[in-house]
Amino acid sequence: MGEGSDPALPLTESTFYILLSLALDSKHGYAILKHVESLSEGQLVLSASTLYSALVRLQDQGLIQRMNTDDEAGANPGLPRKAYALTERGRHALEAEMARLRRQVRVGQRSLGGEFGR
Amino acid sequence: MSLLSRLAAGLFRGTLALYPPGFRREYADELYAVFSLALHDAERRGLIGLIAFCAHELRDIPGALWRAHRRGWADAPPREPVPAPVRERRAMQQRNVAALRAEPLAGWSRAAVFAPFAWIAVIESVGALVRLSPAGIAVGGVLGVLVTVGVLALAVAGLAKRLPAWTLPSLGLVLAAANWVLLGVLMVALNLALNLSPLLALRPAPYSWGAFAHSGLVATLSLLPLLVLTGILVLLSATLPAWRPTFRRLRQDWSQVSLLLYASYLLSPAINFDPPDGAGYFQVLNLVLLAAGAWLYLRTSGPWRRLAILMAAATLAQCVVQAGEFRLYADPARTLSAALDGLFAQGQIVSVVGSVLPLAIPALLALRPRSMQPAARVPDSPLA
Repeated sequence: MGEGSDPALPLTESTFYILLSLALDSKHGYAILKHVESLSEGQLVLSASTLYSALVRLQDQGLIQRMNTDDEAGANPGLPRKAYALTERGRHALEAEMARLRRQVRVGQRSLGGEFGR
Repeated sequence: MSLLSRLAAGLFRGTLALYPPGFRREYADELYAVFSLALHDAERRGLIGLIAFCAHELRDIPGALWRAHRRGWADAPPREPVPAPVRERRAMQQRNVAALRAEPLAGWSRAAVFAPFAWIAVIESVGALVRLSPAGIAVGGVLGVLVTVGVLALAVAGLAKRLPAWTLPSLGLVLAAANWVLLGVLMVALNLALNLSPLLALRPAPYSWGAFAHSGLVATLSLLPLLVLTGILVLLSATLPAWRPTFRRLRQDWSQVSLLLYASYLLSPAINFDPPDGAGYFQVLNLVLLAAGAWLYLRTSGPWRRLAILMAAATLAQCVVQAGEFRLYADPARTLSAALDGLFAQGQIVSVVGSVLPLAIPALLALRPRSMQPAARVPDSPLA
């Protein structure tokens, strides 16, 4: 998928990590927060407000969807009762972004050569 | 949970009220739950960790609020098709409103708009009349009292009749007088409490950005009490049930609030020309320009066009006052080029712009959600 084919591309760093986090399984807001931090090796720490801004925007773009979870019954009262999952379009966008990043790395390695060229 | 955590949680819950209603309904509980869990985590990292977490959250809140509101505005237009009868009723309302806007002011109402201009003309002439002869004292005194009573009566009528357009300049003049009194009291009180003398004595270097910022800021801030008083009036009209039609009318044509503020420029010569000797030409020119602006305002329809006219007239009138001030007091050579040089060096041009900008503030009334559009009929004409 080319960059021009999806208006959501290229993805911002936070969007990329949120989608990546949801690519494995659906998650609550807090789980996304923690997973993004661990996926980015502590480089990206989202605040709750920023996370929800991003989640709302991604829903508007159709990249993720919000759904009810089993916690509705109150089994886990401390956790939010909604979870977020990647949509088909979100998965395509994530794959397209990864292909774009790979391409950039390849071009960089080819141009610089030396230790980067390995 | 520590005091800081409780405080942070309370503050965060408070900021949730600043999100648009749709966002709050859908996400507020969830967002707060996530914040609480993250706060709990941060608390385990000690005081420094907690402070860093709070700072991080605090930094991101304004951006998140902005994005949520921007999304709300984008979603504002109704998504469901409007039924035909409702569309027809709305079109009829719009036609009614347009007809009311186009309705000219009746003779006396039109004259009432110019009452404050007459007041200034009379008050500025009283001095000359008094100097003319002993009889002039009586004539000037009677005229002065008459026009003052007239303007005050119009201002009171404006409040009693819920701000009809023909009373707005008179009410604006009274509020402008109150503005200068309040400003004086405020400055004295602040000076006593905080000793502002060094700050007030601050004079940035000529031709510097500081000089321009200083002039613009002082010009705008000097109208602050007037803006607050006008804001209270508009707020009251939005709150009191009996005043709701007034509020609807002001939102249809918010330039009427600008017309109220416009009257404040009538007092500029009295404030700037002290002593007034030799300022006659500037006073007259200022008055003529402002009166011409009001006259053109009445002959024009549409709030934006009306605002443009008021701003243009006020800018020209303020330029006359500033030029006069330099000509009379700051320019020993009393040459035009030296006066113009002074205007730019001290940032007086910015001062003119800064003093005229508040006229545009009522345009904020135009930024209304669609659900707040005017109701079925407007009981009183925007112009009468």
